[in-house]
Amino acid sequence: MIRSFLLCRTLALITAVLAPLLASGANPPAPFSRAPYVQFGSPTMMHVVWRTIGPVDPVVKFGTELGKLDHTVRGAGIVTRASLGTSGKPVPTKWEPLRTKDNLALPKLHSAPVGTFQYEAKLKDLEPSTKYYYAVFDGEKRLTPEDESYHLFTHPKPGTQGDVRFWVVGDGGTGREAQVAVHDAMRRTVEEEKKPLSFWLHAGDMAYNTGRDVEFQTRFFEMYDATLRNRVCWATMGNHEGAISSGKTGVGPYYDAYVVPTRGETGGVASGTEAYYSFDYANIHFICLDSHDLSRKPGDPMAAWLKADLEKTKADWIVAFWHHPPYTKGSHDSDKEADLTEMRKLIMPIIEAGGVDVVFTGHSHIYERSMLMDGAYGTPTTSENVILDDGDGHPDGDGAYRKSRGIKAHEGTVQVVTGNAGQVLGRVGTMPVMRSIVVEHGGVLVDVKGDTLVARMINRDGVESDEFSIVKRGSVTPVRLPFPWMPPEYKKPETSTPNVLKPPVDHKAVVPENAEWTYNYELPVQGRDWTTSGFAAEGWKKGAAPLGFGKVNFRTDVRGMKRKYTVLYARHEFSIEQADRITELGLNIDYSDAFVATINGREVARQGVTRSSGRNAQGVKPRETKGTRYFVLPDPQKTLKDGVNVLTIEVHNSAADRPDLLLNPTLIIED
Amino acid sequence: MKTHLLLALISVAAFAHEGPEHEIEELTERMKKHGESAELLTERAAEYRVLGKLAEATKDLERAVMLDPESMATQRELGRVLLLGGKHDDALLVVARALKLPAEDVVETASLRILRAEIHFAKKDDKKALEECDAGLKLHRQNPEWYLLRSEIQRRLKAHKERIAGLEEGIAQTGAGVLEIERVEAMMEAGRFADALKTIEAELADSRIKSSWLIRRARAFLGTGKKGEAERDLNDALDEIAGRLNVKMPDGPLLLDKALALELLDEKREALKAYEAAKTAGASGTVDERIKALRDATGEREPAGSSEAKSEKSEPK
Repeated sequence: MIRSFLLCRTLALITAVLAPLLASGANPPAPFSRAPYVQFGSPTMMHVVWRTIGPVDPVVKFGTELGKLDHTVRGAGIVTRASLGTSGKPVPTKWEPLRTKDNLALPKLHSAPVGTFQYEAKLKDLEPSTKYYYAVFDGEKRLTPEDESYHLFTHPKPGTQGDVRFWVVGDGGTGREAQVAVHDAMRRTVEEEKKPLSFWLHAGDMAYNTGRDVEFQTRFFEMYDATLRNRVCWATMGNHEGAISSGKTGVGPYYDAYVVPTRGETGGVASGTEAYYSFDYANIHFICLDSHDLSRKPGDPMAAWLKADLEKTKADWIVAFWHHPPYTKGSHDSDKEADLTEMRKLIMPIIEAGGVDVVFTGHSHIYERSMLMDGAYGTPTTSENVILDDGDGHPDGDGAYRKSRGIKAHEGTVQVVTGNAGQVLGRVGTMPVMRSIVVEHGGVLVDVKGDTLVARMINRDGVESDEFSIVKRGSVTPVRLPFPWMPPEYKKPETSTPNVLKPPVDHKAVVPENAEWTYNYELPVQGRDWTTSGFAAEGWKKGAAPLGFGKVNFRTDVRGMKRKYTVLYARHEFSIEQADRITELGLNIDYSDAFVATINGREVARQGVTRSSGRNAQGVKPRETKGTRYFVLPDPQKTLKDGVNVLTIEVHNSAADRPDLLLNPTLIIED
Repeated sequence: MKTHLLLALISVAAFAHEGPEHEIEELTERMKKHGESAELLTERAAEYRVLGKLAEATKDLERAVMLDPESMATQRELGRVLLLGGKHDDALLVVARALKLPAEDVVETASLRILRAEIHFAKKDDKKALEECDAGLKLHRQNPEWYLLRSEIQRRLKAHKERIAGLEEGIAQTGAGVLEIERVEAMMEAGRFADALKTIEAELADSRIKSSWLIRRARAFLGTGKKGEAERDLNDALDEIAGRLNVKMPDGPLLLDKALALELLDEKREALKAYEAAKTAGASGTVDERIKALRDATGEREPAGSSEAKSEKSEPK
């Protein structure tokens, strides 16, 4: 994609500690453009989904022994979707022959690169609770290696009192180091405990910023590849995916990515839509709602379906999940935001009358976990008479929350907000129904065995930051507590540590460290022409970054400007292909005192210069901090173009007699 | 454009995400700095809509449409916000304009036809609403909500036969459980109680919570003159509901069930109370119709201070 770039894994921002994790974020091996992953399972069925650039003759072979894949799916057992361009828009010449009548009639992939084919193979007639190995073929040619990791587990029979483990995460899809750390912490924990996941739930916001196909690929599929390959991710749409995917129409990259039950194939009432659905796993019934763009009103379809679904299920446990939390004071406030308030006022009464045990949500970038509660539908949320057990729920602390055996209405639900899987964390206050509030990155590991559920928040370091348990045994009469335990009031720190933003894990340097720059501080610079790619930099010098003088590390010495000039002008040209596939453009820069950066003549970043630029710059201030800072630059698709681009940076000293000057930039992209 | 491209360009602020007010502030700041764009305005409108500020959302979307008149998605969003704000004629104009744009996907055109059906339905122009709904469903048959909308329109038109046939088509296309429930309702409203009973019995046998289906069976019994069986089912349903209702904050759908059971037992005043409580709990659909009918039947008046009472007072007689 880039003609000349370096894989910038050596940036100081990515520490050696992370090195073992960098498998996350790798591009899929050819010919895959999306590596195989498992979807929509049941006791007797599972889907394997993958993508290639250009079509293949799709075949999946599977069996219970790694070396003996004696079952085959091909032909009608595999649904094919394709991205073949839109009428009226130019299509790359090499894909023109694919625009046949038959291919154009295939279900469409939305915003995927032209030439992408997605295959969804349905593996049928499987045995329950059984491990199968699988391999993907193009006709007779094997595409996946003979590798143990390409396997799947079928669900146990419904009602089985099994030992189920699932992981729940939300708001992770940033492509950044925290997402990797949280994923890795889960994998280390299950490895150490020798108890693998059964599957996992995603509470939404898995593909920042707008859920484009390329963002799904880079920030979800490549980041979680090792887990997606053999464990089904059951997902709900977040508001970021909802920027271009629509629950009303079921169209968009989110709906392309997932295969979910719509006809009650794996338990529950048929929803008829992929926006909300339910499924059974052993003795647990799972319900997924779309809290982003569908009506929550009772009587409207989603709430009517929810009611019907809850009326039908005979599982021992019910777990519901969606994106917008009914109770939170993390980075969002459920007392102020309509999406959240409505989920509380309109959906929670149905949930609790249906006997749901735990609700998992995301959206708010924090971990918050409630006491055992029921009936808190008002605004603002208060805790009086809605808490049924104000203990900590910890088996070794105040003890597990107790509920009657089976499913009973209004015996209490635990709310878990787990929007802490990668995004920048935040907290605005204290939600009074919460028993545990943790501002750390992490995910929730849940174990259900018979009548006992144990949930633990495993933080990014693999440390357990919270644990609670629910035991459903005998008959319990709920008692409402008029004055329950109250969490300590939140005091906003007077001096908060700024969230230091770091580049995405899978980034590439398009202007690398030590790149050669064309620079000038002596010749007069008129207007903004010098910031464009056609500029003839006659008389300008060349030198490798860092450029500087004084007590800083530099490769190119510019001390000639000391006491004479305050501005250093520098430019570097670089090439880009497929600018529309770039998910992030960032400038990693150490500088002194101040700078203004442009790309292709468009200003993209400025620090320490109050107004204007060049010799007209005003309000130039000495830098107060030291070290490299990372800036996410706006609108990569608009800023960059295919072909030659130019990054320019003018570095300012606040006075000509300043003792040093530094320019050490790296321009990175994530694609 | 280009719906997907346009929306892909909407840069949702990913690194500072502290609620809609904060998003609005940030978007406003960005527009001050870099100038207005259709993308930023559309994004801010979405945040205004989250906060229920429809006038502000409308203003931003109108401006976004001016800046990018080719965006079908923006026009559809504007049409929807106008519908939510009760500006039906303006919404119709916007949808008509949007339908002239080239669509990337047939679902986009279908969803515009459905939006137009919703607007006509809100205007109580049921025939036009039905035409639009049929047109939308002809283009895209996989959305259960659209079948429910058509069923609701046909219910108001008393087109029972077509309504049942339409729901059966929806069940075949989507399998949605809510369409099966709606089909039972449609059959009973059409007087086909024996047919309805077959489905009801099967659903009852398969349900953990039975009150909704007990009430439906009671209605079928009443339709076939079996009053005793109906009363028994209704009382069983009310018992089950009483055990499930959160007395402090009951849920809308359960209150609707209770209200209906009470109404069928001819306990009109109690039924009226339950409908009113259901409405307070956010229940929609035919609640208003039932409340009006029961008020007429019982002579109960709208509680003072309610919006309805106020508008009655202010209207010249």
